[in-house]
Amino acid sequence: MRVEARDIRKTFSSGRQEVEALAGVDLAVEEGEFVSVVGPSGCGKSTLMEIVAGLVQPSGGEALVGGEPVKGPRPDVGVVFQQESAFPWRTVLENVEFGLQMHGVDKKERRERSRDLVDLVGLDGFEDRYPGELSGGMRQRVAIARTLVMDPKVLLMDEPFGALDEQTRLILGEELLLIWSRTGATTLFITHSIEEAALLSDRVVVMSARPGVVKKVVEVDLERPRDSRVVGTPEFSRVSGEVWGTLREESMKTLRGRAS
Amino acid sequence: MSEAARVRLARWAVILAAVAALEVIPRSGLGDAITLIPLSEIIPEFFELLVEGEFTPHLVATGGAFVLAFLLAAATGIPLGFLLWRYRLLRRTLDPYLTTYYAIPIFAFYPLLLAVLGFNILPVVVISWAWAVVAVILNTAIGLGEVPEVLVKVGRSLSLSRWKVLSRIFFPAAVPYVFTGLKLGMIYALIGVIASEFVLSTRGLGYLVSYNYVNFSTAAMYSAMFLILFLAILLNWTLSAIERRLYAHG
Repeated sequence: MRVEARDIRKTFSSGRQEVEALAGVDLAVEEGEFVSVVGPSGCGKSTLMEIVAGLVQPSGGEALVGGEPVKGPRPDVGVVFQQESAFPWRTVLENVEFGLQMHGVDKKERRERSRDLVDLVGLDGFEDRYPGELSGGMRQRVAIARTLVMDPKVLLMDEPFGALDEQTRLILGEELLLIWSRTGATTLFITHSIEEAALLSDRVVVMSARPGVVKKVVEVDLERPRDSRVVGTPEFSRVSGEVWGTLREESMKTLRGRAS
Repeated sequence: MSEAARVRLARWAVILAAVAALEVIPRSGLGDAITLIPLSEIIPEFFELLVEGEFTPHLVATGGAFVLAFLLAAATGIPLGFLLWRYRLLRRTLDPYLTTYYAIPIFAFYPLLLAVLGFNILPVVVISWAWAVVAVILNTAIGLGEVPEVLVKVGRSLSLSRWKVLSRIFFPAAVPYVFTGLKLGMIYALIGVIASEFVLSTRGLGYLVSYNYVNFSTAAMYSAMFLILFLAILLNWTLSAIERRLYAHG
């Protein structure tokens, strides 16, 4: 299912002050494609994702999923958030089952589907543990499994590994590629890590400092299936270098803006 | 010896020292012999009263009022806490009253309650309900307010109805806070019942203490005090056990 952003604008107002977060973002993610969005902090990349997810209304422009304008959350669009979102009062298996349970899937079927997902994200043996007993990386896998069990055709991820250390992030990224290749979901992945973007994506979209617009799109010409060993290849260096070239400028704008 | 073992030993030593002091101080003639009597004279009296069933009606009265007051506090406090969280204007209006609430000695209003409700169990229940309910209200409202926004977004992204988001995300997420409110409410309800029985009742353990005090039955008075102490300890112990089970997986 194709995802498209058409001239998306968003202005937040708090009191009398108006802050323009997005100033006309255009981008498209083709069916089955994996696209990352990187940008300096505060550039509105999370807002962009929430607009595509139907959680936030744009001030202008529109998001399209499968050719239809997004009016609100839809069941075939799955979202994984940056913040801790595994439910602490539910076990791993109960967390993964949540969406199916809420939509009235009978117990036997939802157990089965959830167990498959628990296996897929490598949490077998932890089905009956509570999130409080798991590491941060494992909790994020729970959140990913809870989203994937709904069989989304579109997967939106907002810095899902943002709170984790570099090594864990690369390993989980590798696992995500494996899972993604099996589901074939169209994926929009928000990150601030250039390495992560280069490792995972077909294309990397670089956003400008606030107000956010698309500054550059870098094609990643690395063979699939890939794993984190591509980090040492010349193509990886080229992509990272090109992304950083643009991002550096934008990040400096953000930093200068803060200093003034 | 490990630190934990030493701490345990020291705790027992504190209890032993207190018990010894209760025996030794009255015998040594410090304090007057009518109000301070040695432990060895209280204990036989305690068991006698217990076996003869002297405590029973008072225990039933106190227990009944306590359970009633607590259940009322839970049944009214949780919905009121929900309303307070849900309606910002209500919260802003009531905020100064709620935050100063526990500074007001509500027991001072007992003559009013007696006049309005009569000399029966009602004023006792009303006072301890009033004393307990605000803790439940405040903790429920705070708990619902502290639910992380991302959990709500998860619910919305799964296209859940507002009711499902409320019942399946907000409420379970707020349980630890609500439980804290109920725990405080339970303790306040017990304090409320005992304290108001001193002045508002002809039955109950609080009444028993004050009755025996007025009649110079010092050993019986202390026996009633001990029974109250045991009840409070038992209550606290039960609550801790429930809490441990609730958060075993925290």
